[in-house]
Order: sequence, then C-alpha cells, then structure tokens
Amino acid sequence: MNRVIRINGTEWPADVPPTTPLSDFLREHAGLTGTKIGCRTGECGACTVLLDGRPVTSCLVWVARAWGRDVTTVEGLGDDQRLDPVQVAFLELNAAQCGFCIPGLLVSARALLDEAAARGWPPTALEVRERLSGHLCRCTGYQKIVEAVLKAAENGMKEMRLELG
Amino acid sequence: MIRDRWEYVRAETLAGALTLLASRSDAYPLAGGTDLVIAGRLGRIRGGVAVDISAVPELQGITAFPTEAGGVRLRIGAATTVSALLQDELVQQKLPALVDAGRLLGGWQIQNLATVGGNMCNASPSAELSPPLLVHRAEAVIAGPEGSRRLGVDRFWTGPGKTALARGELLVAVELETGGASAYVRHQIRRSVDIALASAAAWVSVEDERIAGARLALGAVAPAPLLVDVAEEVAGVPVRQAPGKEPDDPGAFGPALAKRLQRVERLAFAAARPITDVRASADYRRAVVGVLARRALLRAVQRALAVSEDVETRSG
Amino acid sequence: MSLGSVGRPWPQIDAVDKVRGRTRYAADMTLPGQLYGRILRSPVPHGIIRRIDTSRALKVPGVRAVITAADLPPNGPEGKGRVPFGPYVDDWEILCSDRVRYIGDEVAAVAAVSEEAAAEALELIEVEYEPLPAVFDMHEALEPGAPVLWPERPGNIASRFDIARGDLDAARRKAHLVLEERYSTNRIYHAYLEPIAVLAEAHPGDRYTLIAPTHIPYKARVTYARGLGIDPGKIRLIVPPMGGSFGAKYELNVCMIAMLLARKTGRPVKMVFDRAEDAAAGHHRPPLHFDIRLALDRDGRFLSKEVRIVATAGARTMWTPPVVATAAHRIDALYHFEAVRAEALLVYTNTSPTTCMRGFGNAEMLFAFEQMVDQAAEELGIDPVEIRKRNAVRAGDVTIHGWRIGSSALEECLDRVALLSGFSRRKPAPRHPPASGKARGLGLAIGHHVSGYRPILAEYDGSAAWVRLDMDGRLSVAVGEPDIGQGLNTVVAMIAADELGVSPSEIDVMPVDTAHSPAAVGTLGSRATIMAGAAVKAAARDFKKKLLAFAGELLGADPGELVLERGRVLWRRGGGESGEREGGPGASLTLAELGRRWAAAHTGSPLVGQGSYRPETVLPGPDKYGNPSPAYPFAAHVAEVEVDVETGAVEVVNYWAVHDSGRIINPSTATGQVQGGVAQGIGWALMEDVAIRGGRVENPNFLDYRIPGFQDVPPMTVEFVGESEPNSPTGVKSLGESALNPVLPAIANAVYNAVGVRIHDAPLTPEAVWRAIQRRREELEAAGKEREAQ
Ligand SMILES: Cc1cc2nc3c(=O)[nH]c(=O)nc-3n(C[C@H](O)[C@H](O)[C@H](O)COP(=O)(O)OP(=O)(O)OC[C@H]3O[C@@H](n4cnc5c(N)ncnc54)[C@H](O)[C@@H]3O)c2cc1C
Repeated sequence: MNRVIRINGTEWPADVPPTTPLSDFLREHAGLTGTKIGCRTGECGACTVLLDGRPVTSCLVWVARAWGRDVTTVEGLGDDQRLDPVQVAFLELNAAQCGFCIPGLLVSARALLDEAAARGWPPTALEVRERLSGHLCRCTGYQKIVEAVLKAAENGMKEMRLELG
Repeated sequence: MIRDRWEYVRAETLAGALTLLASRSDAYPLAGGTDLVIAGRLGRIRGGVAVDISAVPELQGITAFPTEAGGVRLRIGAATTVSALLQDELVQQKLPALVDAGRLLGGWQIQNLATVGGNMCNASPSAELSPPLLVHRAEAVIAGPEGSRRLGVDRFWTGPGKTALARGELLVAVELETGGASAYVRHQIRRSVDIALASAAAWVSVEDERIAGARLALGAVAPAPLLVDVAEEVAGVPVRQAPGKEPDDPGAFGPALAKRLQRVERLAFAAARPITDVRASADYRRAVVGVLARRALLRAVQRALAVSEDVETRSG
Repeated sequence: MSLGSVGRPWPQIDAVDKVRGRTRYAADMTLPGQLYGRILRSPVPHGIIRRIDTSRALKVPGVRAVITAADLPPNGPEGKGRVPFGPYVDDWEILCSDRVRYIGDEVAAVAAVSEEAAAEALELIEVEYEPLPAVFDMHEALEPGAPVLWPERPGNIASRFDIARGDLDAARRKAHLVLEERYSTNRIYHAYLEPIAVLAEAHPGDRYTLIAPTHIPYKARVTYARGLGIDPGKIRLIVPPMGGSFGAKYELNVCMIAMLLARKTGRPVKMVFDRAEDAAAGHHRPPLHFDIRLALDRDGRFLSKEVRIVATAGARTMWTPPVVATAAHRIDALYHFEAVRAEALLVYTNTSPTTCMRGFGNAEMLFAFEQMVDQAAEELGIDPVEIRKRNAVRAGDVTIHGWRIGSSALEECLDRVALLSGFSRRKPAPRHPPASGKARGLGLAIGHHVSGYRPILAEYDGSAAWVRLDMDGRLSVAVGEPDIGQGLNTVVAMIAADELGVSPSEIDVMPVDTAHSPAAVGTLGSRATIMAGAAVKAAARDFKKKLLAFAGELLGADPGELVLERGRVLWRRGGGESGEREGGPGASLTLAELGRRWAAAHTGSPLVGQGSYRPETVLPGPDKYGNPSPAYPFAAHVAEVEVDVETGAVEVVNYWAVHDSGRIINPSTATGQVQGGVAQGIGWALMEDVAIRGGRVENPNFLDYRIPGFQDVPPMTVEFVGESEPNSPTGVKSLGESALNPVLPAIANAVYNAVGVRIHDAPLTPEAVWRAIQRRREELEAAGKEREAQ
C-alpha cells in the first residue's frame, strides 16, 4: 500500500505509524491546523474532514485508513483568491462566533451541498439540522449556521464562488 | 489520555482475515473503528493487533435474493456502513425499523464510518440496530477457523459487550426476512447523537385489516436486547385508521388495538430488567420502555396500513 | 457624515480567518523546542499525600522534568516560604503540598518531548495517599462533624454574603400573600468546544511569556504572580483567539504549572487538556440552593423578600464568591421591594472547584424568582405580564440598594414579546396532568443584568483605548478586553471606523497582550462593549483631532475646515472642486500619506489617539449601597414547549426573545448572542448536569454530558427595542448575559403551563419531569380519596 494521502488535491507522504489519528497527522505533520480537536471521541465533530467526499470525524480514523484516499479539510475549501460559497455565507451571516467548530462544520456543509447539487434540489432547514447534528456548537445556537447553509445552497449550490473583497 | 498500543494490519480476503485473527489472542477485527478506537483511547482495551476488515470483499454489499416462499431475503454485509444502509432502496422499502435506527445512530460523520457488523459485535445493550434486527428475525452469518455457521440474532447477544462469537470468528453478514412493516423508536435526552435510554422495535403484518403477526424487541433495558413475545396479544385484532388521530395516540387504529396495547405495554414493562446508571434510573427506564413498545407497534401498524393502501390503490 | 457601519449587520472582522481555518487557537501554536506538559491528578477525593516518588517517571526517555509541590518557588512574605493565594480566597496551591481535596487535584506535572512520553511518565509517578473522609454535598458539608477541607476555615465556609435593607417587619405586616419556596440549580459545565490549552516560556530574571486564553489578562497575571512569588509585570500574557469560555477561562492553575515546567526545563511548554480532563477538572457552574420568602399585597406588589442561599465552592475558591453575591441581590435591580434580606454561604466540598459562568448567579436566582412570580400571579389572578410590569423598575428609578436605572424598555420588551408569541392564547395550566399525548405550554420570564460591575476591581472601572496610524497607513485599535468569540473586536472596529470615516475592515484590532495593550478589567460582567466601545470612541476622537491638526499644518488649512472620510482628509471649504494639490480647498491627503508624513515628522513615531471611559458608577461601600453599573439591560422571553406526558420529555418548539440593550452596534452579532444564550439556556434547562458520584465526575464526555445539538434548539425570534442609554457614550448597554438569564424560568413556566407541574430543581430532564408528573398524580389521587372519605 502506497503510504500517501491526497489532501486537498495534493499528495502527502504519510509514512507515520499507521494508527496515528488522521486528525493528528493533519495538524502535526501536514501543518493543517484548521482541523480542530475537541474531544478525540467522535462526539463533537470539530475534527470533521471529508474522506473521499464524505464527512468523518478524523480523530477516529487512523492514518492507514486514509492511505490512497482523498481528504478535504477546511483549508481545501475555496482557494487563495476566493472563498467557497459556503464560507462566504458563514462569513456574511456571522454563523461563526468563537469559530472553533466552524472548520468541521464547513466541510460537512460542503458535502451536504454537493449531495444536494447531485440530486438537483436544495436541502431543507430540517434536513440541514439532521445532517449536521454530529457537530456541536456552544456559541451560536445553530440558527445562523442553518441559515448560512441554506443561503449557500440558494446561491447557486456548487458553481458560484465569490471573489474575496 | 490513555496510551493504547495498536498494531495495524489490513485483511484483503475473508480467509486472510481469519488467519490474522487466529494468529494472536489480542487480535480485534476493525470495521469502522467508532467503538474500537475509542475503547482503546479510553483504556477499555489496552490495544493489540487491529485487523482491518473494512475492505474484505465477502463482508460488503447489500443483496436481495428470493426465498422459497416467494418472498425476498436481504443480505447485509457486516462491513456495510450505516450510511450505505440508509441509502439502499431495498432497505428503505423493506426494513423501515432499520432505517429509523440507522438515522438515529450517531451523526452523519459516525454513520459514514460505523458498520452494521461493528454495531452488532460491539454488543452494547443500547445498540441501535439490535432491536430492528431482532424483529426482522435476522440471522448472523459467521465465519471462523472451523468453517461457517448461522445463528439467529436472538441468540447472538449474550450480555453487555458479549456475543456468541467464538474467538477468531468473524461476522460476515446478516440476513433478514422482508415483508410486513416495522418501526423503531428510542427514548433519548438529546434529539441526535445520543445513546438510547430505552428503545423498542416492532414488526407487524396486517391482513384484511387484522393483525396477522407481530414481534417486539426492546433495547437498553437488559444486559442484551430482548425479544418480547406479543404475537398472541395482538393476533387477529382489527386495525383501521381512526380519522383525525395522531399515530402515537393509542386509539389511532381503533379501540380494540388500544386495549391490547395496554397489555403489550405491561408485557414490555415486565420483561425489562434495566439498570440505574448515569443516564437514567431503572424504574424510569422500565416505565418508558412500555410507552416505547406501544408507540413502536402503532407506527408499525400505521406503516403496514399505508403499505396495503398503496397496494390497493395500485392494483385498483 | 458618510454612511456608518454602526447599526448595520456587519461580518466579524476576523471571520475570514475563521472560515478558512486560519485562526490560530492556543493548541494550534508550536514554539521552537516546545515540550508537552501533563498534570498528574489525584484519584482520591480527599487524602494526605504520604509519599511521592518521581524517580521512575524521570527515567522515561524524553521526559525533561517532573515537578511536585517541593519544586514550587517561595511566594511568602519577603520571598520566603509557600503561602496559599487565590483570586478571592487564599486557598490555591498550584500543586498540592500535603493534601488532595478532590478527584482531579493537581499533584505533580511532567514535561516531555512528546505527549506519549509525558503520558507514560504520569503513569510511573508513585503517590501514596492516606484517604480522609470526604464530603460531596454542600448541605452535608455544613453539618457539625463533617469532614473539614481547610482546617483554617472551620465549618467549610469559603465565603459569605449578607445584605439587608428596609423594614422587613413593616413590609410583611401588609402582606396578603406569602410564598415560601425552595429552588435549586445544578452544576453544569461550560462545555466550550476548545479544551483548555496554554503555552508558557520562561526567560531569565524570573520573566515569563504566557499564551493563554483568559477574559481577564491583567487580573489573571496578578493571581499567577502571587502564586509564583514574582511581580505581575514579569509575566507577559498574550491572549490568543479563544474557542469559547463562557466564564471558565479566567484564571487557571495550569498556567502556573506550565510556567514552572518551562522554568525547570528551559524550554517552552505546551499543555492541552483532553476532554475528559477538561470536563472533570476544568471548572463548573456552582450548584445553588435557594430558600425564598416573598410577601405580596393584594395587587401583587412585592413587599418583602428574604433569601437564603447555599452554594458549592468545591475544593477551592475560584470566582464563585461574587456569583453568590449576585444571586443574593441582583434581582433587586429588576424589581422593587420595600424590604429585602439575603444571606448566602459558599461551602467547600471535595468536588471540582466551581467558578463563574455566563449569567453569574443572576440566571440562577431568576430561575427561582421568575417561577415564584408566576406562582403569585396565578394565586392572585393577575396576568403574568401585568404582575411583572407592576413591580419592575423603570427608567429614572433608584433601586433599594441605590442602583440608578438610566434607561429601561422592559415594558416594551414585555408587550412586544407577548405580541410576537401570541401570549394571550395561553390557557390556564391544567389541574390534572394530561394522561397521554403531548401537552403544549407557554412560559414568560424577564431578566436583566449589569453592564460592567464596579466592585470587580474597586480601584477603577472603565477602559482605555488607543487608535494608531502607522507609517504604512495601517490603522489599528488596542483595547484591554479580549474578544471571546462574541465579536467584540468587530464592534470596536465599527465604532472606530465610524469616527474615522473608514470601513471596519480597514481597522486591525490588536490581540490583547499585556506587553502593549491598555490595562483593563477584562471581558466580564457584560462590560466589554460598553466600556471598550466608549474608550475607543474617545480614542478615535482624540486621534482625529491630532490627525486633522497635522493635516491642517501640511495643507495650510484650519483644521475646522478639514473632514476625515473614506480614508482621507479633505479640505472642505468651498467644497465641490476636486484636486490633489496641497494648499487649497479640495485638496486631500490619504491616511497612508498622513501616516508616512507623521512618522517622518516624528522620527518614526506612529500617530496615536488615546481615550478612556470612566463610567459614572458609585462603588458600593461596606453597607453595599451604591450604583455599581452605568447601565442595566433588560429582556423578556417566551418559550413554547411540548411535553411528552408519558416520558417527561420536553421539547422547546418556539422561542421569542425581546431585548433592551440600548443602542445595538451590530444587529447581526447581537442576534447571535441572544440565539447562543438561549441555546445554552435550553441545554441547562433540559439536559445538562455534571453527575458526581463519590466525588468522581461520571459524565466527562459529550455523549453523557449533553449540550444541545442542531435538533434541540428551535428557530428563535429575536428583536431589540429601546433607545440609546443616556449614561453610555455609545448608547449601548449590554447583552451577553441578559441573553441567557430569562431562559430557564421561561421554560420552567412553560412546562408548568403545559402540565400543571412546577419543577423546583434544574434541570428539567425527562426523568425529572416524569417524576414530578407522577408525584402530582399521586397527590391528586390522595386528595381525591380524602375527599371521598369525608
Ligand atoms: C459519537 C458517537 C455516537 C454514537 N452513537 C451511537 C448510537 O446512537 N447508537 C449506537 O448503537 N451506537 C452508537 N455509537 C457507537 C458505534 O458508532 C456503533 O456501535 C457502530 O455501529 C460500530 O461500528 P464500527 O464499524 O465503527 O465498529 P468497530 O469499532 O470497528 O468495532 C466494534 C467492535 O466490533 C468488533 N467487530 C467489528 N466488526 C466485526 C465483525 N465483522 N466480526 C466480528 N467482530 C467485529 C470489533 O472488533 C470491535 O470489538 C456511537 C459512536 C460514537 C463515536
């Protein structure tokens, strides 16, 4: 097995002990500290990343399980010049307060919007609440997060990427 | 932080997995890891060799095959993730209780990792999928060094964290009967990402607006999930949607069922042997599980009627 | 005046970093050569340390230091000996010298090159404990013969608070109705998403750099300096972005432990709690027990109120003394009473130390009192809205303790929330709990708070700020109040931006760093926006004056003819013409150019405007009479619940919150504050409870300590009413805590309205509600039988 993980489109050698938590690998070896650690037991969702496009709590995924696969972290949303529409919506609506839960939420929201785009209709508020229920947030009361995801969905789902000011 | 020490090996075939599992006494199958990794981290297991079975071909997929009686049996590979289970159309149509339960299991991120086999083999008394599997009379397909065997899930769970699997054995799949309608409800404090304080799954078949068969299973109220025999209590009871009533209302399907449901509730109450822990006290669990039993049955009846209505409209 | 930002929804100025994952919280930082520190915590709730042997731990490869109480530097008088210290009561030790007092007490600490090595070393430290009898319940701790935690504090009393005013006897004599009730609130966990994390570096000459989350950097370093026996000025405290705190991250023992490990090893040390450690040995909201006697006249006017409070300090005293004082008398600034008396005891137990949390005792008292107001209203046949209006303070009032209410739109809050929620559709509570199904109910509660609280730092209240223009044209603002995630930096930038005619996004708000920020009390007591905002406004004005004077010199204009807008100074007289030339109307200079030229003219110095705000408060004296806050915010909330009468499960299905917080600077973040506060209140009301058995926290994780998730919080309607606060230079009052304060009683009142059962003890878990319903049924049955028998 090739000990490489494709992180945000770039191949990363991941020749570390195979049972290293993916979250630790991302933060300590790949320098991607956007992925946060809130509990290490899969309960808070702060460490969520996309593994082959699906949200997983990266604290529970050993590096060996990611070898040869695609990982998307918050740093992989948007690019240097632009923000992903879901980032724009979070920003504009102040869906982030302290911000600690936000990176994980953003990648899950991205996956949710991709799924909705694939099936062709936007998510409902109830659906957003169910899908994102694996993320805890202590600051916002969730309402603005739900609104932001719905707004991003409305803003043309996947295609639209707003220019940064 | 507890220091767990794991070695990791990936199995490519069922035979390979069995060999690896037999090779060491501290070998553990690793499926989604949502229980095993945490058990290590919290010091419940000191580590050992984790045999990754998630890519073993024999453990994959959901397949349907016809039965002699003209019905459909579903085979669900042990490594099927809860997300895959929820997305499967046949499961959606035929095993509604399993869908109810899967949707409640963890959040999306956990559902993308957690497997059906892991949930079964972890054997938590509150495991979500156990009551639905019980009422659908699932059979465990087990492979081991001595060959393979089958076992009804009513004999699969033997206590908290304990199953009938012998050391070195692997759960390959579960097979279930389809037909009838089912539902699962759990009592929780948080509406998502919570562990059941008590739960109930019910299965019914309705023929000519009468209950033909019924099964009930309870979770989190005994060392292992419980099957409660309710068939006799409700067999033959006429059911018909009472207008303007919510499906949770005991009278939703007529007074005859409402009356029998009280007995079902009492049976559930009597069967439960709950414990008191940090999540709830025993007497509360016991009181609630009766309510859940009744509600699960009502929902199953509702679904059964909706299905037969569907069939009628389609044929008519 | 150009279109300002104040009053319009504005994205947080640091939101771009937050949504990109670029915000660096303490755990995200790595210092060169950094070691990982971990704490060995007591496994017994109470005991004498007979022996500690660290020799095996020291042999673990990679371990650089193991410290115990024997390694603590002297902090006693004249630099000799060890003495206890602490923010309110001197009962802190850094590392336990001879006794442990709770499961989690700090016994030793390790620094190693990896977390694994540190963890391994912890397991190899040998400690022999001689167990002592322990006490976990505060009422038991008060009983004679109870185990004593601190022999120098007999009876386990950590602190007490008493207050009395008015003629109780005279007031009570007029009573038509007297309610005597017992209520209690429970121990909850702040449950911020970012576990506690700190980094420390030691420098020669007893100096330290500490990167640690805190609301109160200037105060925290005083405590730390006392613990270490050094001058506070030797500690440079840098406050990183905080992943939530809600009052927990004020002053933390781990900071001193990290500093000592850094000193011992000569290397930077990083310490990050894991969740179980954070939830068990981080700090909790204290449980409070209330006995309240309220006397009312026939019209529902409050006459007298007598209160006895017992609260849990845990094993040492953190910020709970002022919490208890608040619980004892802040309600007297919401309602008028003719006479009041309160006495409160803060009690040691062998449990994790408690500290302050959003709502600060006021939320606790409101849980009790707002339910009693509903009880009284029902008994007297008065509408819940009306009885509150009859008793509430109004603008211009002076309360029984001398607090001056500068503005209040509480009546408007009440009317508006009643309208929004359709409160008039509320039916009377059923006498019998319904037998099955789901019962709906509506509940109302009001609340208030302070906007800064003078006694927190008796020397002064208020704030200072600097606005600065650098030679590259960069505008920055410095205040001493850390942004704790609520968006303070954005609000401060908006206020400055409007004064300076730029966009808030063009202003950097500097991280709070004791090396170069203005000193301040910090972000607590709902004070940050009013205090820092006013100081920034003053600083911006001072800055502008200096800038225009300088530009006037350059342009040869009278500063009075110059305006500052859109990032430039423009010579206005005559107007209309545009031109870049210097020395005539229409000429202008950009901020960048002004920054450069100022620096050139002042040998590199930036242009700095300074400002401060000293609110007109009166420090309450020994008689506790005074006016501790410049302004008082108010709120009225209505909750609509659905109670599953067979399981006791309560769902909040609708929620309306109307607030008077004075002028709203940023409606978007203000709304977010309320939504977040309500969500926390829902969690506390319905599910949160730190379960302690035998001194051990049994639910130190998010599966068993449940905070509300996406599906537990309904869509909320939030509105603001009221006008500018006259005592506040920016017109604002406060919001952070008043957002939470009414939530618990609103929900409890709604549950009562739905099922006719009043719950006196938070939280209203399904099991608690179910039991209360069972009890009520039994009572009714017994009463029925009695009637039959007669
Ligand atoms: C945040 C969170 C929320 C959760 N919520 C729920 C919930 O609501 N309801 C619920 O029921 N559970 C819940 N769980 C528990 C867990 O996710 C489930 O039990 C899950 O189904 C386990 O599957 P897995 O594939 O991850 O198992 P693993 O962790 O891989 O394995 C679990 C155990 O089964 C053994 N095993 C796995 N596969 C096999 C096999 N094929 N044959 C033999 N032995 C095997 C392993 O050796 C291990 O002992 C939650 C977990 C987390 C972290």
